[in-house]
Formats: sequence, C-alpha cells, structure tokens
Amino acid sequence: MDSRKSELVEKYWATETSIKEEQELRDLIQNSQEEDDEELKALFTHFEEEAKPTLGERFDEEILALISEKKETKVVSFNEYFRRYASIAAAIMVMAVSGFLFTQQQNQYESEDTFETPEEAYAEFKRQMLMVSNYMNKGNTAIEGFSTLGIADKSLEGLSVLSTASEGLELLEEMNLENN
Amino acid sequence: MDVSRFKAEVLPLKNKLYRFSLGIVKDEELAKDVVQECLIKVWEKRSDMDLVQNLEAWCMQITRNKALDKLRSKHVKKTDMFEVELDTRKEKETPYVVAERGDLMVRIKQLIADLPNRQREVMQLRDIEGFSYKEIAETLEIDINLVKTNLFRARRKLKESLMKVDAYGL
Repeated sequence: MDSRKSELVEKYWATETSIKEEQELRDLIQNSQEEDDEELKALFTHFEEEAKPTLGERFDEEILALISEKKETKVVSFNEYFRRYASIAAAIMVMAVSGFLFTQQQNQYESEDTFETPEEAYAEFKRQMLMVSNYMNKGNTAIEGFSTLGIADKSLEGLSVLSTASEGLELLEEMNLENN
Repeated sequence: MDVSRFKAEVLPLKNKLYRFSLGIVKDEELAKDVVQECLIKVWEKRSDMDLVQNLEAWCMQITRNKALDKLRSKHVKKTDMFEVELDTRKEKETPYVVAERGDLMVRIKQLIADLPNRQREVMQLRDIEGFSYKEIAETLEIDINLVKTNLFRARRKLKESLMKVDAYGL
C-alpha cells in the first residue's frame, strides 16, 4: 500500500477527505490489486452501482405532458383569481344585501293616508288614545294587589336569624368530625 | 419560470431525486412517483422560485418529505426490509454458489441498510451523489456539524464491521 493511498484511506475513515480527495482515493483503490483493499473496493463499487439508477427519457415526456395539462386547466390561476377578487365580491355582496334590507325597512314603515281631513284623523287618534288609557287604568288597579307583598317581605326578614343559627350548627358539625 | 427554464434547470435533477427517494422508499415505482409528484409541486410553486436560494437543495427537500410521506402511508419499508433479510440469509446459506466478492457486496448493502436513517441519508448524499457538507446540510435542513458527525459515525460503523469480519477470516 503506497503512502498516498494509506494516507487517503486514513483520512477517508476519519471523514477528513474533500470530495476531490475521495475521487482520487476511489481511483487508487479501483486500480489496486492488493487484497487489503478488497473491502474498500467493494464499498466504492457499491456506491458507484447505487449512483446508476436513472429515470428514462419517457419520464421527461410524462412530466412535461402533466405540466402542460396543468397549464391549460389553470388550477393555479384560479386560486390567484379567487384570492384577488374574493374581497371585492364579498364587499359587493355586503353592499347589495344591506341595500336590499334598507329599502325593505323603508317600505315597511310607509303608511297610507286613511283619512280625508286632519280633523277626522285627530278625532280618530283621540278615540284610540282614550281606549288605551282606559285599558291602562284597568291594569293599574289589578297591580295594586301586589303592594301587599311588601308586608310579607318585612315579616320574612325575621327568618334571616336562622342563617346565624346555621353557622353555629356548622361549627358543631366540624367539632363532631374532629372527634371522629 | 417557464417550461424551457424548467426543462433546463429542474428536469436534469430527476436522477438525483430519483436515487434519493429510492434510498428512502426502496421501491422503484414508488420512487418514480415521488419524483413525479415533487416535480409537479415545483412547477406549481414556480412563482416562489425566485425566493429559493438553492434550487437543488429545495427539490431534494421536497423529494425527501414526499418519500417519507409515502413510506408512512404505505409501510413499504417493513416489507422491503423483510425481503432483503430473506435474500441475504439465502445467500449466506449457500456460500459456494455466491462468489466471494458478491457476498461482500451483499454484506455492504446490508450494513448500509442497517444504519440509522440520518446516517444513511448523509452517506448517500456524500458518497453516492458527491454533495458537499454545505449542500447536505441545506438538503436535510440540519447543522453542518451534524452532517459531519453523522457521516463520521456511518463510516466508522462500516469500517468496524467490514474490518472485524475480515479479521475473523469470514
């Protein structure tokens, strides 16, 4: 084993060789007839074998066909278009919907003239208001009954003493637990 | 990027990508599918190409991810490992049929296959594809020192195994 080769072999195993030196070592080993180099020769042969698998020319054609297909269907450009115009479309939608709702609202509250003269209308309005106040008064008398509840409320206050008693009982309970 | 640039810059990488994915999925058809998917992805992302510093490393990254996805989804590795194991056993059982050199090659293949994934990947990129440490670091998205460490370990393991077997005269 000559010195250059052994030096490179050492460096190779120590991962200190450059790509150039590795190529040099490969050439030296492949041309070597020494038995000691058998393993490295096999290793380098393996690496060369592993570097052989390739894809044929047909692969290029397949890929280029797939790519031109993609170009025609414009999958990419659809996305771009969508991204670009989605916000504008959304804004238009919002405007259209709110405009529609606004006009509907306006129409809803539009009332027609039902009386010929303002006097007639005033008389009708007065009649309606009287009717409303009549109903309100009826309701008020019924509600007065509720004021008696205030009295009950006062007598209930006495019950709050019970909570103090319950606190005392809790203490007793704790003592009971401690005893156990 | 247009078709002519794709033809000139991306397509020539196909064989490297193919071997790299073959190293991971260990199935020729599957490896071919991986490369095809990778190249189509590159084409679809061609608008981002100007941001990519190293086209080759970028393609290798995509290939690696796609190959690992394939591996995860199809569990190809297990069955393949099993086959390889069967093969070597068969050849070991009939040493007179197999030439001594052939036997050594089989052993080397098995040793490399048995390396941890990271070490095997680094070794493949260095010793088969002739990548620099920097290129390997970019491809695998790891630190350059980690590349050196992994390569060192892979080579040390091969050295020890090959020389040990030799020392026993097997």
